[in-house]
Amino acid sequence: MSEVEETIKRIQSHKGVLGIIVVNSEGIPILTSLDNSTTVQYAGLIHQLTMKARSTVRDIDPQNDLTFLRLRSKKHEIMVAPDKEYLLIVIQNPSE
Amino acid sequence: MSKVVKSGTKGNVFSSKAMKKSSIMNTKSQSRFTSRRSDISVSHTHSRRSVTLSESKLTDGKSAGGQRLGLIVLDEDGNDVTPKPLHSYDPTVQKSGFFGSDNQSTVGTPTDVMSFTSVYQSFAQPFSRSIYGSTSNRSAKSKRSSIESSGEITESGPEVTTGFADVMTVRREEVEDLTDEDLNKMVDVILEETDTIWMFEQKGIAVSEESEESQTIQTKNTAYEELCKTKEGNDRFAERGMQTFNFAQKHKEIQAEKVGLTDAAINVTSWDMYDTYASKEEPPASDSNEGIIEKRGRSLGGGGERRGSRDGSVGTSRITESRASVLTMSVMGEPEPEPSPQPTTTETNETGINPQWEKISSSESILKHLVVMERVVTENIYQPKQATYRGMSVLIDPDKEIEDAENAPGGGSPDIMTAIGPTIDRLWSYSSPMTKGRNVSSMTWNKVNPDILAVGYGQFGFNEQNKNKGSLTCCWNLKNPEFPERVFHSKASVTALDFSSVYPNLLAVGLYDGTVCIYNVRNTTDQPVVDSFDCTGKHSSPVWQLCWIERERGLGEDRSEILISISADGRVVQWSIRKGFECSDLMKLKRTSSKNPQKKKEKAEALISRQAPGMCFDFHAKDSNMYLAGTEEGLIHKCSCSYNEQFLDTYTGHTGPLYKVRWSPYCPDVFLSCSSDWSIRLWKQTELKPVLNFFSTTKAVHDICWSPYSSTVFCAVNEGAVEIWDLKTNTLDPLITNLASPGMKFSCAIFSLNSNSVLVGDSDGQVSVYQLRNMSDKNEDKVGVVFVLSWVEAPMHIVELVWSYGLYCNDSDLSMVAAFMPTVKLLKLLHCVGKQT
Repeated sequence: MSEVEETIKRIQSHKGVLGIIVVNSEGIPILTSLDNSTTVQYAGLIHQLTMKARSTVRDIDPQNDLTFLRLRSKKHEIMVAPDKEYLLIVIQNPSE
Repeated sequence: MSKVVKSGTKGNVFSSKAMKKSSIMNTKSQSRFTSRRSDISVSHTHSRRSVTLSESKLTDGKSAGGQRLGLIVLDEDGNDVTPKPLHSYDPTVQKSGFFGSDNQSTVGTPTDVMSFTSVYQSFAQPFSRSIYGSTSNRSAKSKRSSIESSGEITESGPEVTTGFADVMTVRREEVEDLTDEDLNKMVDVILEETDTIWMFEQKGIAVSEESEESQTIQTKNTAYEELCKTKEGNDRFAERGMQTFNFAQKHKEIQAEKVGLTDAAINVTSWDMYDTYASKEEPPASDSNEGIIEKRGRSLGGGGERRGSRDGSVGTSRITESRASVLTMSVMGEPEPEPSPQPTTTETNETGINPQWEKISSSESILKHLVVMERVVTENIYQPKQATYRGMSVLIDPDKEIEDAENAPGGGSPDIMTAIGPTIDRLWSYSSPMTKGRNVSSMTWNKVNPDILAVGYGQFGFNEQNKNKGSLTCCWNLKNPEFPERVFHSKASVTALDFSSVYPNLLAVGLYDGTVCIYNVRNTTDQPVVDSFDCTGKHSSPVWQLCWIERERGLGEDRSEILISISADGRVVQWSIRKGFECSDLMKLKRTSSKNPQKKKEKAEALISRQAPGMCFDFHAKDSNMYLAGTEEGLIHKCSCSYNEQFLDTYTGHTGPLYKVRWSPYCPDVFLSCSSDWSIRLWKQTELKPVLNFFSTTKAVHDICWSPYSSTVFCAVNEGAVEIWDLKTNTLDPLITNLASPGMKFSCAIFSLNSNSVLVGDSDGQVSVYQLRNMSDKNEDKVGVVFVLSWVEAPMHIVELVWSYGLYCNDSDLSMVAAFMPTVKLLKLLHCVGKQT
């Protein structure tokens, strides 16, 4: 298995991790470990939020760019690693 | 008034009304004819009557209507003012079926008349005709000449009217002829240039000054102008009004197709403009179309809800190429991303999305992102422990339920903690499924990044070597305690490790079979950079210790480093990687005969090897020429790199193989050694006998390590426990003892460089991180600690008390102080603590 897939598997089996989603640049999920409806919801919403966040960062300084986004809520934490072609989303419940 | 002479039969064209009108018409002007046309079209039900009437009327007519076939209009003077017909009859047109219809009654039944004239009316001939006229025409058709003379109208009428039913048949026949025969014929089509057809010609009104007419035209122009000037008062001009006819207007409505409208909006952000300028500077040829779309996909997303933003910024025809932009242009203001109404996951739409995933997964960036993500995920779990490791404050999760105060790491009331006394607190352990069950044989920190730890997993004993399929070297990172960052496999057990300081990415690994390899930890490949397999001077026995030593060589090289190894074949070997992997002997550890006078009588034993197996060594921190080497015999030799035959000194005291010897980082003269004879001994460089002995256990002591923070603290690991010793407080017992769980043996220990912790490896493949708590000497206080050494020898020997100061800065102070130290012979142990600023 490639290193990428191994790492994904490890993250998935990490303590508290609920799921991992990879979304392409248009907001369509490519790879997911959750069920379809949840994936679709997360993909769409997080995609928008990430775009907005990136736009904010770059508006302030166009040479800057968004590298990581963490959203902590009461129940769990959503971590987003954005890139030009895709978004990597991991949902974790850290307080277990 | 012109008289209307109706020739022939008008037939049903005249109703009674029409007759009246016609009578009127007789007296009225010619222009009425046009109105009659509309009357004609009225009814033909009264055909019979009209026919007769017309006939009677006709017979009343003066002219030779009976014989005259057409309608003849005569004016008052009797001139023939019959309007010329609009349509001229072409006698050359054949009417084959004409005579066929002629077979019908010449008079024609009223029905025939009706049909004919109805057809006739439909053609709106200028003059109406009676049936009789038509029939008589038909009869007269036999004489073409008479037909021609009577006027074109008559001919054209029947031709058209009567022939309608007939013409239809004619035409049909003609069509049939074509289908049968003519289609298969080769038809020559000749294209010729037609004559020029003038559709419109307008001559210019301007004439060149040089032409002949110009003179005349100019005179005319001037005459005209004068005329215009004199126009006003001139008698020759009279004003007269005219009225144009305003014809009746008619409204006509048409409907065109609705013009489709599209809204387009653009939202330009400052970074969009920046991107555009940046991309314009790059060579455009390097980007493929797809790349452009991808890039716009990114800036697209940045536009937020208004997806059309990139169109404004890019502003090229590339917009139309993108599939996504087409979608976005048609949908405005929708909060949902429109391409995702039917998103599918990989399971359901494999053909479309899997290639995308493969493309992404093969890109480099995803791996980096995954690594970062893994670390972040890990941090969420380990954050409290990592924070205490670093000495930072622990972030308290506000939503987490507050547990018992004692359980919270780093929390708890300080009173309780201090009351407990110094303890070690296990934070976490580096372990992974692949390292489970392996014995940790050596550990070393990276010289540049103190978070990276290299751990070698290998068995110590010969019998255990075969059990493992291979051995591992793992590089662990503090940020991910669950999976090593690098894994290197080797066949033989790993017994020694060291990171280089000049090239911090080089890791030297010594193996049980005597091989020395060097790995580059920047790569993830499993192959060593160099391997001593081919070297002539390689070791033939396990390499028990490795060390990179910086040497200051002349010849202008500033930082050169050599690798030194010691192995059980009794040699201390120096390796260099300048040209390949070369080695040269630094020292051969010879067996020294026992100095015990009691054994003088024994014969010299037959020795397997003349050399003593070397187990450990340590170079002096200040003097890189001098080092200590411990052998399996229990002797510690002080050696120098300059002499490779002789030892400078030999320290005796241990009765078993030395496992570790270590110089103190604070006191340049003091070193510590541990061996399998259950003891740890403290030595001073000038004394050949140990200064202090520590007996705390009945198990072999595998490893010792000085604390980098305190000059009197060291950690000792034996098979059953981890012991933290503090010489300041107690020289007989360790300060902290942490027993091993049953079935597990500790095998090596190392202090952490950037934290108040000690890492201990065990035989189960785990490297546990223990944090030291409540050590009596606070670590923030890095001032030099004074400690006192005193040693007590066996009963009747003189005890000397030596004062020495341990400073972690320069040692010139130390020598100055030592010079003034009194040497007092005492029997008691004394120690005092002082601080020096």
